[in-house]
Amino acid sequence: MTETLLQVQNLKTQFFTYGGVVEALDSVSFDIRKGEVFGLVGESGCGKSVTALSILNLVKKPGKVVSGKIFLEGENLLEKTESEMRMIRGSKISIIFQDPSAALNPVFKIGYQVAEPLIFHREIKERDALKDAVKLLSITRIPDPESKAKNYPHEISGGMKQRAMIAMTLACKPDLLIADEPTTNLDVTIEHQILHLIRELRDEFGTSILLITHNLGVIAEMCDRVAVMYAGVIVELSDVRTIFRNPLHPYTIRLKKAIPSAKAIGKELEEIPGSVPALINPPSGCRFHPRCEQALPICKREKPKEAEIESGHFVACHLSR
Amino acid sequence: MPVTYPGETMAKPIIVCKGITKYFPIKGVMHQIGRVHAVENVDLAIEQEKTMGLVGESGCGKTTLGMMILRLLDPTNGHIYFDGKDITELYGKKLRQFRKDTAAVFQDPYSSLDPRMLIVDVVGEALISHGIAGEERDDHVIEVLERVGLKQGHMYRYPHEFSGGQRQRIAIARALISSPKFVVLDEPTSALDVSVQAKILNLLSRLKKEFKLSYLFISHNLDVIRYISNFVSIMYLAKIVESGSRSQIFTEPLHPYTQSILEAAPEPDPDVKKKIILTGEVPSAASPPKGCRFHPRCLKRMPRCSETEPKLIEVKKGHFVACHLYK
Repeated sequence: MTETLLQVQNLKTQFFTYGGVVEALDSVSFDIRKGEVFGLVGESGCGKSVTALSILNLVKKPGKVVSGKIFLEGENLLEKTESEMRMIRGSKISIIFQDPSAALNPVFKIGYQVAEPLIFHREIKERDALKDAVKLLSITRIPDPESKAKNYPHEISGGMKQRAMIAMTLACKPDLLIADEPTTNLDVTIEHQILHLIRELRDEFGTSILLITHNLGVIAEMCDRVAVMYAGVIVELSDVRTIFRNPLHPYTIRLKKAIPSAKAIGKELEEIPGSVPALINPPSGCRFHPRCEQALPICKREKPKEAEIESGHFVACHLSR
Repeated sequence: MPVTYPGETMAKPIIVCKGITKYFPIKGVMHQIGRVHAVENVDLAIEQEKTMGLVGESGCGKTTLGMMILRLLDPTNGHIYFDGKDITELYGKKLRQFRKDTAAVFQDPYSSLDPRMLIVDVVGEALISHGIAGEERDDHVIEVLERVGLKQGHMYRYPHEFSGGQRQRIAIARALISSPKFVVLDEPTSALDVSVQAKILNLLSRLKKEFKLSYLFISHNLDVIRYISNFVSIMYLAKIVESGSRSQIFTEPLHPYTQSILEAAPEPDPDVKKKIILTGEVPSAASPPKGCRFHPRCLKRMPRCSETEPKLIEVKKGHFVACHLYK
């Protein structure tokens, strides 16, 4: 058994808007082991990013974590004060966002931005931290790191910016790296390089990675275990091979079939009827039941509990019990 | 026609591009200090009622090429033929007829629809310039909305009331309103989720049959291209490096660049392990490398690759490649 690093238990995050309460996350539970790549996959608006922000305690008003527990090595992050959280963010948990152009500050040089967590968390003098920043940039295989450190973000390409972001998150050797759609804005060949880099760094530093993406291809290539999210609920959680070879939840099955794969050529793609529900007034019972073709009367009435079908394979569906 | 073009078979092509080139000037304080080679010497043919997929990384000139074919941009050099007629010199009435025969759908359905216009006006706008207005226009709009899977009741709503997939349907309806023969689809599903993407792809395939359309489908998503295209062209830094039928490109890719993007694309199968890793990034289009433009990143480069530029040649029937490895 490998050790557990992060444990999320019954996490409920809601947004209190004028239109009503948006139930963005409803009892989300999972755990991330040391040194593993854990994938969180789902369509836009399903709560992937809110999960990441909840872990970092960065959910902004009108949003709020209503209940649940998040343990990082036994300590509940939700009970921490803001100043304690500031010491954890960037040092124990780091995050890479989708759009590196928006995440980097345009008026500071790359080198300084990479050095900043060192100056803040490790209290290293700026001059030494800048030297370390060059080393970090070279770990992420940025060619000519010394001159790149003196560049401003607009002077380097998108792939380079994402590398610089990764260098920044590595500065304090975090236990957990959250990568929120890290390659969505990049070209295929650059995406391949960045994913390769992230995996190499995991192998080298043993960092656990929470990889958030909507791309099942990226999940298949990168992850050890995967959780599939739909409308704020984890519907299926298992090791990556089981998710692709033996998916049980109807949503996972349909999502996989919606990919225009080589097998689908010349045939009509299988659609999922209907569209993602608004979470202001989510469907009763199983949140997927209005779109599910196998829905039973019970699906409308009762919320399915997560059941362990095989060892390590959890499914929240009335059909698979 | 003695010369065949990439994408051309026996049937009559709807679009033929001959040596089209587009340079954009880079302006200094006083005068022009350089130029960006956006598209260079591209030959391409698109068959009637077929889909040509155009693949390439960002900044390689895909969109510029699409815009020139629609004459939203004028090529610096070369000619484009639509239904056998040269469109590069069209103006006035004939240009307006050409505009009626062609249409475009863009990537982002959030920015391509005017937020202050009602759906009926968004979709029906093109008809005004063709002299159709009032009830006749509304009837056309209702018909086309129903064809793309929307309802009559959606006519008097604003774009913000719709989801991304529905907005893309509206954009498709707007493209189809003037009964075009040829549509440029510029990354139409890139901003959408997988399940919504499946719906839009099904819709596009159905409309192609119903309206006898020809498509130029621009995308960087290889799964989507493989699903929708009959012919595929791969662009790299302003040039077409390989072109052929879908099966030629996906089962026997010849150009090292095509091989590496096919290898790099993440596949939804955990047992597929990826090998080749393409190093480096796309060079700037303002100063492309000498010789073959791909040579600095190519794993199979030879001395002559950095000296002479390979020509696009037909290696097998209908399969074109620009690489010194093949002659």
